[in-house]
Amino acid sequence: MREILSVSQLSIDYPLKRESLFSPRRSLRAVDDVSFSIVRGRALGLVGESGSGKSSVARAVMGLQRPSSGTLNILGRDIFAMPPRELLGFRAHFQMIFQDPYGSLDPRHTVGRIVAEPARRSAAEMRNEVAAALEAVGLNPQDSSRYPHQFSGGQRQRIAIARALVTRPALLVADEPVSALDVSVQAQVLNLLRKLRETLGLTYLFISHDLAVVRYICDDICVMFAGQIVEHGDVGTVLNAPAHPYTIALRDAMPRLDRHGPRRRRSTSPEEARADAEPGGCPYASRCTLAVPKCIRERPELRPLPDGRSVACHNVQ
Amino acid sequence: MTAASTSTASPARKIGWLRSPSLVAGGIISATITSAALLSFLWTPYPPLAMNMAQRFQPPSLQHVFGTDQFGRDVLSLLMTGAQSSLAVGVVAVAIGLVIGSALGLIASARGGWIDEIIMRMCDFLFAFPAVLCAVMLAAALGAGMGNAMVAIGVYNIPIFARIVRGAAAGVWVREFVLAARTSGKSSTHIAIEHVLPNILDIIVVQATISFATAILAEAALSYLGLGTQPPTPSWGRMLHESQVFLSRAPYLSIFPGLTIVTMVLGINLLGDGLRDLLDPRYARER
Amino acid sequence: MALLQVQDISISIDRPEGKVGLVRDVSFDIQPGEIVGMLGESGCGKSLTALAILGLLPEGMTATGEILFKGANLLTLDEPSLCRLRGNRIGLIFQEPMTTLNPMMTIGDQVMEPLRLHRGLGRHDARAEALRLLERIRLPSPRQKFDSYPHQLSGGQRQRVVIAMAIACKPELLIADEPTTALDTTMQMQILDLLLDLTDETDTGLLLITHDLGVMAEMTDRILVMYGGSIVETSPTADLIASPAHPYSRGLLRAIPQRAPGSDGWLEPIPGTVPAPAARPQGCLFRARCPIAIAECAAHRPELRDILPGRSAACWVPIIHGRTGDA
Repeated sequence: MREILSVSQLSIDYPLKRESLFSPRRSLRAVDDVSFSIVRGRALGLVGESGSGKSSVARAVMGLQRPSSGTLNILGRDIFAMPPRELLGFRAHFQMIFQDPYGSLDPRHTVGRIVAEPARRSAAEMRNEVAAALEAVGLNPQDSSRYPHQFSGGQRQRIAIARALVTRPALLVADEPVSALDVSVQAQVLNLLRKLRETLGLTYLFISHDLAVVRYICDDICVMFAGQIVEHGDVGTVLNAPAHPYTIALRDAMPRLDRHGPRRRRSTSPEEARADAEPGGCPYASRCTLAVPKCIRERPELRPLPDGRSVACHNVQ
Repeated sequence: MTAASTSTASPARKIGWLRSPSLVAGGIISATITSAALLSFLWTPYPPLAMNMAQRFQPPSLQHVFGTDQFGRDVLSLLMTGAQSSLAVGVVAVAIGLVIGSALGLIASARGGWIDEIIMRMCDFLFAFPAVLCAVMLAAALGAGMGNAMVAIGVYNIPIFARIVRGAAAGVWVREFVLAARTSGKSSTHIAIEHVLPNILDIIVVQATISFATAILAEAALSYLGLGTQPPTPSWGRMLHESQVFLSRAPYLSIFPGLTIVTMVLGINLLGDGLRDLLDPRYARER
Repeated sequence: MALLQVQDISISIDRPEGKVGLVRDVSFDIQPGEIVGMLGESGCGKSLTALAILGLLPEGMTATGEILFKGANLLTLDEPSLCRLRGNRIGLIFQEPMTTLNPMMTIGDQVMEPLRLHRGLGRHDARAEALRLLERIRLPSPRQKFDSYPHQLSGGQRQRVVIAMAIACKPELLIADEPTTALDTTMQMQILDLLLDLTDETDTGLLLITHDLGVMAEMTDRILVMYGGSIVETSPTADLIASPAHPYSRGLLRAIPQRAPGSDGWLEPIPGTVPAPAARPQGCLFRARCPIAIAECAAHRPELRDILPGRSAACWVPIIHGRTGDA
């Protein structure tokens, strides 16, 4: 099985509160017709700002959020078509690392119990596997009898990674796994994630707002805006020469060390979205400096370019 | 040390035990009163129900440490025997409220939607009935007696526990470690028992101690109305109420049952505080 | 004269087991119009130092030393005098705008509050001035937003409102603690640009606290690097980025993915973790994580000293022009 994860025409709607008893129930489209796939051993980075739908995609992939339409296959199996009982066991094949190392570990469980949880067997039965997982992330197997509060943020994130590894999953979903960590510890965890990928042949779906982190960990990148993929391709191709205006704006907005002089101002700041985008048009049109009338009328399709990437923009040929 | 001990005490917990003065004090108070109640099954200084009209209204003395009542009965013996019914009411009423109420609260928070709505409206309905009214209804249906008083107070406790558990659990269900448990393939039932319950246990324990104290007092009120413990069986609440008429003549008749109730409630509250700290693995570090 | 002069500030907390030092002998100054960055990881004391400047340390913490704001020692001022300074001559911007703004008050009322309190404006004048401020910070459609509540605004818009409140009384000094950490990248850039405009136009001094080296590099004139409650290096921004003098500064620069990874393609993390305040060792606090530590580092804690013109470092073996040597 080459394709570990394949997402096709995925849409997710969140119901909104009714404004009054008789008004129709409205919903918010968080993810709009998203398709991508990841083959074994590759790492795909999903980037975008808050509200872009990247975390909703991750939740759907983890089977935590049922999509409104579309299919989602992991190892060739549609996880939402599976009987619920079977899904509980199938979850061993795909695991997740959360953003907040303080919130994602139950403070009342020992490390051993936390790490053993995805195996759905007791910590005592899983003793050897837990020890191996702790060692793989650079912790001491003896730590398994301690509690999360006895560890620093970086160590806790290692515990969370050990938990994700204990069932030897094929796919690892990481949602902003280093953004809550201090700079010096961030590098330790990033190196660990990269090393694990090489040694265990893991496949990553990596969600981040930080382009530099995505460049360091991932092979491919998907840029999302307002629930849609606007650019998708090889991480080097996309980040070295972004094609979509939003990707360009995102890259230019990243603070960098190598640009000269303090007090550097970027005069090309895109303003905030003026109003809700026209339903039929490009979601980025209201913020785009290159928008033409067609952008407001017609939604651009994600089209492949000769260099292998795909872009959803009328102005990119 | 085994790799993953979940129930055996870790070093941190042992330290917590010794360092918690409230746990030790509460434990000693509760244990003393409980053993006095147990002892009363076998032995009391005087037969508790033996009337002795020659010895009415004796103030505390070496013969009768807490004095005697209007029938010449030994107050200490009555208090020891009364502890049986008072503690039984407290334990049973709290157990009914805690088990059923917590289960309902957990289910409501886990399921949400219309199940949540139904459970909570049921609780509102129960809330609208004071314990006394509930006891009157039960007594009318089943006859007055201590057992029905227990059930009535227990039923009154159900919505209290249900609401508290539902509110606290709702905060835990949205935590990331619950999401992590879901992605681990744990079913909702497992998550409720393994993650949600332990993280709200402190709140339940504190509520249980409060409910225990109010149950003892509620039993007193019900007995006063003739709906609780039936004479001549003594209970703390009944002793307190019956002594009211003699307040100016023999104040000690009210003082000692009153002090006993206050001490027991204090002991249980201290025990609750101590237990709450003991159940929290973080406690060892913060002290 | 310096706008703000912080001299030998130490902050400690009272614990049952005794006083624990959190910040030790921190000294720096800020000139009018200058942007000084304070860089460090969580627990290094940067936020505490800022709170001490404002007299807002939590219960149980005490600060010693001198904090001179235009010559007046803030540490000896009484609470009413400090209240007249805060939000008036010294403006504050915190990380999470939702905690700074009162959810039950409209945007307009909140921006008007400092104007009425400190500048004594009447309701009518305050309203006009508040609208002018909201326009200045480029809040989209300020007239409509004036009567909105904080939850009706986006994160970036809320932070703009916080900035409007902070600058309402034309402060001489702004203190911004992680002002953009909670925001999206594109929004972060706009807020930073706004801060730059404000400092340029009014000669306001800005103390910018952040853990983000990229933001530091693009915004500040000078950087103070804090580690374990002390300043370990202070250098002009360009110098620090090009050739960090303290091994910790260098470690930070090598650990971030923004900089091209090392020759083998991997990041170079700083090993270990920051020692807890109660467990700070003798000697240099960074010693256990330092790749170039010498015997002296274990014996004595290095003081901050000048190593080059305009640059100082607290290190026995600072890295000068990319090379380690005994200065």
